[in-house]
Amino acid sequence: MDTRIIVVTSGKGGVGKTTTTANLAVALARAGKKVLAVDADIGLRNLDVVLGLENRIVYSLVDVIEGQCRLQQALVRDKRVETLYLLPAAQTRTKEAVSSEQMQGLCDSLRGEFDFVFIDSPAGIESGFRNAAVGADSALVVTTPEISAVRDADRIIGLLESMEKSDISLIINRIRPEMVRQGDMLDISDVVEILAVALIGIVPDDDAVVISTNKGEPLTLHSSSQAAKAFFNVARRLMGEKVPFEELEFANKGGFLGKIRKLLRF
Amino acid sequence: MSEVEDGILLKGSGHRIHCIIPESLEEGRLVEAFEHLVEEGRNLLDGAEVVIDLQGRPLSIDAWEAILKHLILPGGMQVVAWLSNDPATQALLRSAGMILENRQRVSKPPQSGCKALMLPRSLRSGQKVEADGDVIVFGNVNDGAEVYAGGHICIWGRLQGLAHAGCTGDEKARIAALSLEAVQVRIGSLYSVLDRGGPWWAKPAAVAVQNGTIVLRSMDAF
Repeated sequence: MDTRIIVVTSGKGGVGKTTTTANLAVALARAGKKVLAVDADIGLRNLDVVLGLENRIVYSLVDVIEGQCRLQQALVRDKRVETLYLLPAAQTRTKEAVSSEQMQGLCDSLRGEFDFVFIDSPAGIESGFRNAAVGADSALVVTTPEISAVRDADRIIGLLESMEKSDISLIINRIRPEMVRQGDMLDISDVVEILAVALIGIVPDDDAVVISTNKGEPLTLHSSSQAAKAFFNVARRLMGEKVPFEELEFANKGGFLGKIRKLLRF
Repeated sequence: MSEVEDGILLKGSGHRIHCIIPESLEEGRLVEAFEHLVEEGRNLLDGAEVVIDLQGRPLSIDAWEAILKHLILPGGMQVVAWLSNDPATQALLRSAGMILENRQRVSKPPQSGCKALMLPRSLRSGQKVEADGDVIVFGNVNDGAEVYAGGHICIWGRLQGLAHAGCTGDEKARIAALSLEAVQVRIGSLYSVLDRGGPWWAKPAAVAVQNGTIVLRSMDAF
């Protein structure tokens, strides 16, 4: 089995790394791929809650690295989508509990076991980020269309490049088409031009994300919301399909209502 | 360089010490900061030749008194000169017969004979380029990136980060960018703050110093 290890990172906190990791992992697992989601945010674990698997955790990533348990014992298998697994972070430890070499070793041991491995990186540019990225083949950089998030994404892309990670794709999260149209939000083309990496997804801002996070049911599990559709499109692109950016058209034209508004000029 | 609480910096410079009183330190907290500095830095300051750098702080009589009573006298130092970026403060110090040091004194021309540094890519946030001569960037200088050049800076792209031309003091240095989108530019010892959405924003522009102030010009005047 050819394994693709992807780090999901952003620099800035709160832009949707964990939501993206959870939704892409579920979407790919539902497409029949064997997927592992690794929570590398040691000390501040969240991915288990977003995936709704927090009550089934016995061992953590740190236990595996320290040899307290075997990898198979620490993996939490999702009962809703059977090809989805979680390797949770330890909540009672800190980022210093693991080294780059140990993370590299862990990633190497996962090769051949899964189709996709997503590593949810902590915010920041310190050791936690570096450990999350060290064993990855490619990176998904998540940003929101805000100047601060774009600046941090730019910093992270620079650091990834210096780590010789050249396969970097961009997800622009929390786009609000109405605000983009009114010029109150950074334009997608502006963000892509500044960051100069391949765009792989545009995810609209969606209240359904908050609800799904609290429920522990990622949107891609059964929702048909705009955000879920966007995550499914990213998953298809990760599987090599050519999926046009419908969301972009949505952002520019504003859909059916937008066209009527344009006609009536209000 | 040693840093004490409240941000007052003591910086060694040859046989003298530069005592930098940051503008950001509120006037009401000066006495407390001086007392702390004198207590912590007594061995360093006692008998030392000191240059007091007020940065851009407009010096009030109260602040002046505080410097005298709580820094100079108890510190046992010998003040050899004052530094200030604020014209009113400079005038005040001059009228009181104080020795004003000119920052330009330390300036040096860009090194002759050094080639321009050509950078064939964009600079990302957190990346920094320093060169003694000119710098030409074929790409963007993104927000959070920094370029320091002893000579001119030419950016064949967007300038969103910091460009400091003539960073060793040469105010004849210039900055040119195809799209000027920076909130601050620096030439020599001067800096200028630009408004987002101003008439020059996101247009080709050149930045130069004229009569001691930073001015923006359209690119064809460069």
